[in-house]
Amino acid sequence: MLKEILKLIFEGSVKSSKDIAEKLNVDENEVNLLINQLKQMGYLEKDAGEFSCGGKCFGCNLANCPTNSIITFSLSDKGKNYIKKL
Amino acid sequence: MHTIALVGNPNSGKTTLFNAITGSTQHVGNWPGVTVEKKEGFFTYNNEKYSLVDLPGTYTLGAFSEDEIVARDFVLKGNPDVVINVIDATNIKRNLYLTIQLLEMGANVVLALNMIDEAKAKEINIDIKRLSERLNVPIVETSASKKLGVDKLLQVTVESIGRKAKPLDISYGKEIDEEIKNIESLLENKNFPYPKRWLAIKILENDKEIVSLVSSDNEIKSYIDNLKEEDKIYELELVDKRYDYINSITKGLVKEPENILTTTDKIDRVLTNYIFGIPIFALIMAIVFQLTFKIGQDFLGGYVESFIGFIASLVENLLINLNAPDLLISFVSEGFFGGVGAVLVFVPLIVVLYFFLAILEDTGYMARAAYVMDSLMRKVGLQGKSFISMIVGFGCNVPGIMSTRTLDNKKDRMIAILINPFMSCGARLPVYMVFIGAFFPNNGGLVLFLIYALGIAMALIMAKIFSKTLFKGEETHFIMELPPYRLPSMNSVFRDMWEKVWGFLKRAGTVIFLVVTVLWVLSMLPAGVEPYSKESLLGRIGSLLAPIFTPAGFGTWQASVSLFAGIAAKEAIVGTLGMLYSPLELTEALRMNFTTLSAISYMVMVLLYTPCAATIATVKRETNSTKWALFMAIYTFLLGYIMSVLVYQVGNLFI
Repeated sequence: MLKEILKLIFEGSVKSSKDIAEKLNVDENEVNLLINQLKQMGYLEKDAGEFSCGGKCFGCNLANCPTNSIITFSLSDKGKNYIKKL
Repeated sequence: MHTIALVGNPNSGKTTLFNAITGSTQHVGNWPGVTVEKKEGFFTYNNEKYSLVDLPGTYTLGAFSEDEIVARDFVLKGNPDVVINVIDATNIKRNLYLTIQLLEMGANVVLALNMIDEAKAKEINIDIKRLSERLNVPIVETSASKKLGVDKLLQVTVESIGRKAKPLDISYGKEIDEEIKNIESLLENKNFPYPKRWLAIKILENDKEIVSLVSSDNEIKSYIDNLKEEDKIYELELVDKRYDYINSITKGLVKEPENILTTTDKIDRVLTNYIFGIPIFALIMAIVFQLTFKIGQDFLGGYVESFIGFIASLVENLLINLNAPDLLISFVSEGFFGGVGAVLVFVPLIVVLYFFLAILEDTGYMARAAYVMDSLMRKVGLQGKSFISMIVGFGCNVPGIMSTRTLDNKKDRMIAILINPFMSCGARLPVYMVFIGAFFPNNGGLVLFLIYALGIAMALIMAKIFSKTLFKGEETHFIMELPPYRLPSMNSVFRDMWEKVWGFLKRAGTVIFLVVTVLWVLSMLPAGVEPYSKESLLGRIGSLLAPIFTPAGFGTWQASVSLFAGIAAKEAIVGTLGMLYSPLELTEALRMNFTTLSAISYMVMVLLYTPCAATIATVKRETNSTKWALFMAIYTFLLGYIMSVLVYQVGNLFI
């Protein structure tokens, strides 16, 4: 199922674990479990993690650093290479 | 002394169980060579003393972290007599993944089915007897937090000492099984301190630690290189098979209540609905703007305005009493209080708007907004992730543009940068508010919402145009974590809001003050000219520019000068207008110099035209290109100009 999850994300037909669970007709908890596995194995990587302006942006009047409530994960190079080989 | 190891997932209650068993006999150190904490304690059972080692909490026994390596090395090389595997009974499938790995290692496992009371409360029924038979390990129900089942666990553990555990032999499918056998026979005469089958599986999983270890042998190294060349690394397949195995083992033995919708699920059914998601988002934002207007402007705004007016007259009277020079009095009352003061009166508005936006973020709704906007964003050639930089842009375009760094596709990033200034930043808010106050006092929230909506619409239109013309390329996709809804933490809401208010105040005291001072000097020169008149240096510059804006309905020198001051900083527009029309009250002066239509046209111009200098500098820095920075400055000006002329000319046909 890990392969199917990676494929779905690569194709762009899903936006959340809930969407994946619906597409694969499985429980969302199970999908979350597998997504965590993929993250840990380096097939998915967290976006936005590297960016922080730390309130030091020159001329920034409203130091509004990226919202931390929106966390996204994309296929890492390892994930993309894997899918492309399929 | 016999040694017992304690292994389990993080949050499985492992440490609570360790504390319950060992009490005050623990000592803490570090595992050799790593920074991972080593906890060891002792317990006595039937007058015999046993050592209990609490291994780091891990989900797997791979080589992804030091914790995992420490845990698996102790199980394999530390020779524990028994491994107690603590399992969270409310999340049994996830926890069994670690169990399966322990069993594959050949560890002598006893399962502590912990949090069993919580599992029962959640109506999760586990057939422990049959599960124990299928896994071929003893299972004891425990609730470490309530110290239930601990004695029984110790009894079973002690009884299990000396039990010969046979490594679990999962079938990974014909192809992988054959490869495992090949590697096993290759390892036959080698001397590595791990079980051969386990090593073979780890090699096929491309476990870095193990591959590096066995690569010391040239024969194995070249075999592994061949495997890689032939794409025979089965990392995902092996994990998948383990989960399949867990599903087959637990089939019919673990019964969980089906499809119980959580509160988050129920709310999401409405808020992220495919059809209603975007209209609901629009409605929520409209309500936020309406509340901002009502509370920030109508309710609190008056107090701040009166307070600044009071301070201004106090300082002016003081200066007059001190016989200060007329020029200084003029600068303080008209330049400083007329200019900077005109910006400061909007502090309550900033407070209220960002208070509500912080609440939306803290409750988890902003993630849903990005989720529902994703489909729309993809239709215009953007990826949904760009919406994050757009939301940040509502605060300020500088970090908005910087946050596009998170887009790894160059096409997406360039488009997201070029459309970010259409996200109306907080600095432009005072401009809209002063015009709304003058022309739309009864529909403030609606007008404000429409301005922001126009900004988003223009951003999407331009994104579509750019993705069809300047930037073409493949799309990248992502999945989003939708956190459960929660009540906002007032602490973080107020901290977030304060950061923005403080930033606003700092800018008013520095950049805006500087701009207003320069413009004040220009409005006083040449010497002897009537201050703030058309004949002043500033008036002459403005008069030169004014005809350009006549087709848009605001061809006055004051409006022209203020727009150019706005390129330094958007709040300077209000500061400049406040100073140039001083001592008249600003809303009154605007009613005399603008019509309702030209006011709309002016607001459209402010929304869309050239962003502030800091934003342009950020574009240059982020794209590493002066060309793109200039392109941004010019195309936005032209777009703003064309749109405001259109609004004014088309509007005139109907009025």
